[in-house]
Amino acid sequence: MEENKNFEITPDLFERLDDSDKNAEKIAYESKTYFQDAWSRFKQNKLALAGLCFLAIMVVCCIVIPMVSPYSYDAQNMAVASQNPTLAHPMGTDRFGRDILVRVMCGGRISLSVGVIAALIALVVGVIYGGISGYVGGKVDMVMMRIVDCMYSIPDTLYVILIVVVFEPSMFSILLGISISSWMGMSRQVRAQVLTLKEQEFSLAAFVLGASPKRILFKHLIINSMGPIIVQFTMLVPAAIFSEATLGYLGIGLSVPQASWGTLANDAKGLVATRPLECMWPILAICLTMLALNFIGDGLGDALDPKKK
Amino acid sequence: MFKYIVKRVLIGFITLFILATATFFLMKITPGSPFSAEKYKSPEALAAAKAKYNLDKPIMEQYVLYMSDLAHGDLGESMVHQGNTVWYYIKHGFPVTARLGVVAFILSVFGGISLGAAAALSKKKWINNLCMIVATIGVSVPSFLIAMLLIIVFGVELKWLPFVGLTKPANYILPAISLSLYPIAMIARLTRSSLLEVMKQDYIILARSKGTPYKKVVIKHALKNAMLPVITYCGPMFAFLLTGSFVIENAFSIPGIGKTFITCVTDRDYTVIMGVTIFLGIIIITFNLLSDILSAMIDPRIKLK
Repeated sequence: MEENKNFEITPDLFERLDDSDKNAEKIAYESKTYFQDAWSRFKQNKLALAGLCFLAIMVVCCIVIPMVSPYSYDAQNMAVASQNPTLAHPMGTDRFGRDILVRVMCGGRISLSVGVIAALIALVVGVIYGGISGYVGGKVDMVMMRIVDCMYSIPDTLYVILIVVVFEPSMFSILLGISISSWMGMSRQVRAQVLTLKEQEFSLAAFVLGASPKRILFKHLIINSMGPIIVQFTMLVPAAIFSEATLGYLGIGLSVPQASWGTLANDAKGLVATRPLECMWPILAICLTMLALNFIGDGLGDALDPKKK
Repeated sequence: MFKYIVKRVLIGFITLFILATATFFLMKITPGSPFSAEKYKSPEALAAAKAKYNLDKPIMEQYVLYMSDLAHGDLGESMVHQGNTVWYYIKHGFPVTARLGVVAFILSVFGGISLGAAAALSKKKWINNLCMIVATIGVSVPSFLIAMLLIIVFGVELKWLPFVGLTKPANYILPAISLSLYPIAMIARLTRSSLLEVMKQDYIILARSKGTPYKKVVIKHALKNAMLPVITYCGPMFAFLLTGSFVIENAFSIPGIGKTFITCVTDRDYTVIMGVTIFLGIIIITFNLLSDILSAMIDPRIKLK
């Protein structure tokens, strides 16, 4: 009885907590989504950021300059033929008196859109093919991947040239050729992702809750492999621009007077000895854009997949 | 091992079969015909020409005939320059391409490995940076642009090197450099990352602690073990050098198989397009096979599926 008395609880045993201590458990930073997190990592990569800025400027120039310029890409004016850069023509004129700046920017419209559209087609086909192959697995997977292996072992250039020959050189055949030759890498990547993700608990949980295979594949597995898919996509765009430029350079690309960067380089090929400056513009445009895209791709790769480093 | 090789050879044959079939039917659905030149004005001449190339037969029969000829190594005759077999074009063009390819191959392997090793082993920051810059430019700039830049700088402006044809040894320099910059960059990246990995291994530390000189450790132990990804890459690299030379031959006016192929594409010379495609396919598939088998033989850790 004596002991109990000692333990009598009185209000003065308690001490009021300082208000600041209440927040000890609170998370100081706002929680970031996956893409905010990736963006903050991407921003630290100066090279990738510079690439992104350059690409943005290039895209804006390609859209705006042909619209505001007094010259059109195919208007010939022999009075000003083969001029060096002047105030009126910042990049000079070609042998038909066409303004090179406008031609290079119009070429950029075609080259960049071919790159993006072909990469998008390859993305869709690759994701669906690889997703199905990885999710279904077994014999289906084996057959589907053998087909990819077969197609993979034949170089892109051969496909693209053959398809452009069959369907006549046009935007459609070039897009078709490039997409057919570039979806395999994407499908392999997606398959590998799906194979590992489908063994994880959330996928089992979705299955137990009665989600259909289609829903599990597209809403859960593919959404969760978005990082590698985006990285692969940013690598596909320069590859497609590369293929298109190569075709144009070989003289089996788009026909005149339309011009992409590749066909401009092909036009300028004969002038290498006499007017090297004129060939430099399309070369410079492709080189810088490709470098920018590659830097962005590398930066995104590090930003979206921090474990890789 | 034997089972693995047999399986790979079998897959190679299937790939080749698919390639030949696809090329055949693609050429059949192509609009336009090589027989539109002046000499086929009369219908009899046209019919005779069509009969010569089996074009008057039903398509499946044409396919069977083509495939059986192919199995006997007969690739047919040019439709535009009659009398010239497809083999004639290959015999004239391929050795030129192969010579350039071998030079570019040697340049790629030596350049790539030394660049990658320098980047991995050097303590100096600028060497590492230089290697990475070369690797980035090599991967991201198309070869024809490099070719044009080299022609402008070294051919036209400085007049140091010739840039037309492939007659003298000096003629090889510019085409070989422009063709091999991409493989150099790839090999440098592969060598760098795999060498960095290997240098961390226990057997390197053991060799060092036993007092083996640094140079010997690098050459005998590290580089030898770091070469596996490079050997695996050799197959795709051959494919790249072959098709990449389409562009380079065009830029430097080299009369190789690539230039023949592009000329035939513009002339719509179907038999030659098919023949050259299949020929290149055989070579590329063979080299892929060889590099895979080689890397499986060298590295017992590779699981033979």
